[in-house]
Amino acid sequence: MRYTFKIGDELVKVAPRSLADELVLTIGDKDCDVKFEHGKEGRCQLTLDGKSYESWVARDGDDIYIKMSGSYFKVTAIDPCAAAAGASAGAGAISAPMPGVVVEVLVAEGDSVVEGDKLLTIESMKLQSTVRAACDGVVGRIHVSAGSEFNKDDVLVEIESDD
Amino acid sequence: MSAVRSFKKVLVANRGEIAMRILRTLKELGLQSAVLYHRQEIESPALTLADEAYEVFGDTPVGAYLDIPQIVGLCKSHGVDAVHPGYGFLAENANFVRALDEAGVCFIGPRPEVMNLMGDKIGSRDFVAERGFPIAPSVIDDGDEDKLIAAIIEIGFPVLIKASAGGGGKGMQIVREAGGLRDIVATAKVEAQRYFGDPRVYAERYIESPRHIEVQVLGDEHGNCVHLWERECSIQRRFQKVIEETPSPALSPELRRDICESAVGIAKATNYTGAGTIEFIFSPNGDYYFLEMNTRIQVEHPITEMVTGVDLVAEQVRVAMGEPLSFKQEDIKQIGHAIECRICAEIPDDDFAPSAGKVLMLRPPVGEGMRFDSGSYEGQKVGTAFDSMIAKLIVHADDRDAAIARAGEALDQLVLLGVETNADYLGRLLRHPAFKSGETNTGFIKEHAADIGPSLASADVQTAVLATAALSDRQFVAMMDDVPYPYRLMKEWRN
Repeated sequence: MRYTFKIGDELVKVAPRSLADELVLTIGDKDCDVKFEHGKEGRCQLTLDGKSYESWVARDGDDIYIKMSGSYFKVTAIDPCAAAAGASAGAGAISAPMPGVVVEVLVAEGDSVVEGDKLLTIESMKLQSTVRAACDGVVGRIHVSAGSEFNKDDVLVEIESDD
Repeated sequence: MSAVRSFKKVLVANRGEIAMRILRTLKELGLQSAVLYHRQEIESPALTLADEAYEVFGDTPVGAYLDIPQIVGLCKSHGVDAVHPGYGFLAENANFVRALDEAGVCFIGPRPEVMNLMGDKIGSRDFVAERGFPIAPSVIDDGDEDKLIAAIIEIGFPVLIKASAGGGGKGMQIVREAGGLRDIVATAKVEAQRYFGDPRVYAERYIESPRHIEVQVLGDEHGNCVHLWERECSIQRRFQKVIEETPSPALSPELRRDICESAVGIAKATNYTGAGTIEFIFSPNGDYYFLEMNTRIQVEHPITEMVTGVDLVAEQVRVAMGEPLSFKQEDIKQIGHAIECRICAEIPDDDFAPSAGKVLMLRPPVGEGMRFDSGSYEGQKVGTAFDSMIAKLIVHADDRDAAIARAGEALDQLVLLGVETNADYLGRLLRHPAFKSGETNTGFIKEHAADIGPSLASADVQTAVLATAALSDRQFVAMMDDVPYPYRLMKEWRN
């Protein structure tokens, strides 16, 4: 059985290969001898092919946050079942490029729009920007209103494409 | 000292790291303290540090901290006789000061007239220019848009356009050519109206590759006014400071004296009381121009405290009590070098987009010459409700090289997990050869973007990170347990 982890934009498979006394993990296409210890308060000690790596680890759901060798990493465990259900948002769904607040909604549900029409004014990092229609179509559900806060990748507006 | 007033209870009308920092000084001064909180912040450590905490309500968390009648009402009902505003929120709001005056509550800061004078970009520039201090060529918006545009073209490009009433980076932009100028001005006016309730904009000559150098001043009610040397804050992104240091590597002793004396001159001309900062733009040829005055404590004030040994918040409180300054100009020495790094919830490699998350682990650095000012705590949700700054890491050492090295050590020691931050990025900035040699300007981050981009982890470290992640993932470990082999090394996981 294999597991997939996302690090940066890369997906890497990790699988345990068993030995009686030692743990061997296949990471990507490499087999590694591994010893791993959880220390106090999130401190971890890993020995990988004879080399030691100290790290700090904290988990939140599928996200694993690690500080190792002076750098921060975020690794996400990809649940094979959840991944299949993920691609539900339609092609016309416009999602937030970054977290922020809606300043103004410039269209109403049912409005016809053409590509490039202004849909929303949003504010992130104290800067205002305009969210525009990515295709011609009709405004479907609007998931936000003026003053709504949103996170990165939240769906803000859906456009039902004319195609 | 001869205090004119004494305070029974001081309210910190702020939150986060600055509330914590002010509360600490109030404790040291032996004053009763109180702090505000919004219900999202019920677990904030500021609530435990203060003797009392008052909930503020509002449509948005920020709105609650801006609600003057509510905050003045809290002062009255709880017997608060002085308010420290911190920075941001109501710190530079003259209406707040007047409302407190009417309620008989002392505002720890300058008088409202001075705040109004220096808080207005147009008014303050005129005031400074009339008294013979240098300002950059500029034009003031009097409502006639055609005239404004003609005047902007006359100044010459590049030109900086900003809200007259604004601060920070809001509604500020550089325009390099006349094409599209009319649209840019129109948008700037709309933003100025929205953010500051005043549509006036103003434009000034934009100086290429300038440094941002500011001077800390402190004045009392008895006509004394001193400077506490400069801070260089050239490392900025989106017009917001990221790394600040003092002394500035750009100033010769003569220039330093000159710029600091100009700052004191400006502050004295306003009869300034309390702590304030005069900001200048410093051009590569050594000219400097008045930029603006901040009539409050600044985010980066700790570096001044590190090199002078003066507790600026304590001085603010003493001045507000009517005491004369306890030191003279010649008593204030600039010893060693201090650097502040602002740790922000943002993704530098994604154009500094804000990040959100929960602080899962926070281990501040501890050591000689290290200071960590933060209001964060494990379990804190970091979102868009407030500013993206999580903490300030401040270091002090004998000289600039040692301070840079110490800042690097402190960043190495710091562990902040659960929210993506600029901590790695700050380390890369500090290690950049141009920063190390003091060749800084406000365009530094853009100019060196390619060099300070993400450093790719070595293949070994990436493999180690993946192994650590997998063995820290409950499902992965559970899956291993299901495999019918004895993973004796994994015993400790089964609980």
